[in-house]
Amino acid sequence: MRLSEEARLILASLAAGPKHGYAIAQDIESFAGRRLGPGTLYGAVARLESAGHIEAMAGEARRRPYRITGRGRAVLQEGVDESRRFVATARRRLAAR
Amino acid sequence: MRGSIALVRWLLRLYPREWRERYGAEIEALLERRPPTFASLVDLVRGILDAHLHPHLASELVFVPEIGFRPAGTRVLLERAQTMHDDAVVTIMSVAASPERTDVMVQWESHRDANVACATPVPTPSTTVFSDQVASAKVFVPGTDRAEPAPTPWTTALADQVASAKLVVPGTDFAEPATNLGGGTRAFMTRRGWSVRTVSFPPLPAGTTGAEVHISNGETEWRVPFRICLGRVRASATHAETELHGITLRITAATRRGEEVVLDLEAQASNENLRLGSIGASPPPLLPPGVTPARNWSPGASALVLEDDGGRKVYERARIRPHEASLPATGAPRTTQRFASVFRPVDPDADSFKLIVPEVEVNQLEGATEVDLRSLPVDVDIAGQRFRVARVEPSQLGAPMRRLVIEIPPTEGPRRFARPLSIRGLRVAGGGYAWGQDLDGTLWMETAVDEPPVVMFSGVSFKFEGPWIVSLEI
Repeated sequence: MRLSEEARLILASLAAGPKHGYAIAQDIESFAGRRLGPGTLYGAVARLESAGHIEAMAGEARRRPYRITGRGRAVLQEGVDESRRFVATARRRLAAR
Repeated sequence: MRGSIALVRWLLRLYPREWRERYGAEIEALLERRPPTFASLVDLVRGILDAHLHPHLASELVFVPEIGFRPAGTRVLLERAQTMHDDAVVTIMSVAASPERTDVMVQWESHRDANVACATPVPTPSTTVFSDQVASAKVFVPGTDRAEPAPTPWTTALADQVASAKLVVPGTDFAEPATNLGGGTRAFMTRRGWSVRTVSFPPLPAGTTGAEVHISNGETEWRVPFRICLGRVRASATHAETELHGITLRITAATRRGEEVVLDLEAQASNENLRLGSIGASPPPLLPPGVTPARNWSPGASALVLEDDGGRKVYERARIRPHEASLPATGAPRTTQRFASVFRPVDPDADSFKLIVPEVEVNQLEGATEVDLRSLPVDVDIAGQRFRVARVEPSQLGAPMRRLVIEIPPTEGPRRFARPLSIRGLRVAGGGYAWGQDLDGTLWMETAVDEPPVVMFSGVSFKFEGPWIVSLEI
């Protein structure tokens, strides 16, 4: 399954530990400089939850925390490996010129 | 754009219902802490459009075998786990570990007191059980067409077998007692030592892949380790519904697994005066190994049917009832009922179905009449409904139980008077009663009777003729 950029950012945020929506948005803004709007954030959360990549934990409805699942970690790792291959290839080709 | 929370709330109402219920409070909380800008409001509108294009994303469910429908992300039992100790085998049959709670279905099977078992008729491979009321269960005598009441010990609850239960994650501090010891609503229980119950615990910690259930009967403790993984049987939320006689039948979720279709059903009465009883004939509960249900399940009652687009019909084969502590006891009247219905074998190529619910029982609590059993037969009027107590017979459960044979005059129209709702003997402690219908259609009610032999009938039960028909695609 190919992940959207927003989904990857959310997985990367949750890889550091469970967070609720506001904390996810703040974390992404701090480490990626990207401000996710509420519609985009929860659209991605719904897709990740539906795919079993993240799961909601017990908590009050307004501040429900999410955590990454084992499947989500595996998908994130695949994305990281893919990016690493892309970076290595691009670096090699740029160096060759 | 500060102070535009009212606008945000208005926009949130534009999300599809599933999305609003699932994420609405979170989005509102997010925008309260991060005041909306013009860009974030535009993003919210884009999210609303996305949600309408993909409404299923917020309503994904999984089906947990034997337990029912749960939110996506719920973890389930990887493989059955069991332990044997002190002549009893405890088996974990199913687990639903959701963010809200952990439900564990436990089978308890005792091999103790073999001599007692010999003195008490026990299920054999040729024994057939019929009834949707455990209290009035009967067994067919092997090799004959004769039915006899089930031995009394079969009808007892499980309280004497499971005194406490605890969920433990080894290597952590997590050790939580059960929040609900559950009931055996799908199980046919025996004091001899077979039962199935679903026990609820608080949610498991994040990332848990294995845990242990500790079950105690007060003397011995059984510890059963088990492993869990993400539930894979996807289910879809649906909103197909139909209304008849003030009763709405709704399919709230559906899934299919090979030749099996499972529907999450909700029956709702339009007002407090319509308290729901049975929704069609209940299929058999879980039965001890080797015991099979009879074809003649409940004389006069009609089962739920699933008809595919090719006109093929299959009957409801199992019913999974919720067991939340907040629900009234099984059989107690209420205005809403929820349960999951299992249908099989369904044509794997069919994708359009009609659920047919032939009848719904509605109970009315008002009305009470005393009847003196020394002057029978007697015609009785209760809340305007007439019936006759024809005779009284000894109960096969023994004194002080007595069996009253009831005759109901035929009535016209979609609403039929089915029977008095309950009965109890005056000056008798406790209020237990049972009712049933013999294969020849004879209706009876049983309760404990003392001297003078006076009983009190309370409430009435009506049967509404359907059918309620709900169409859906899976």
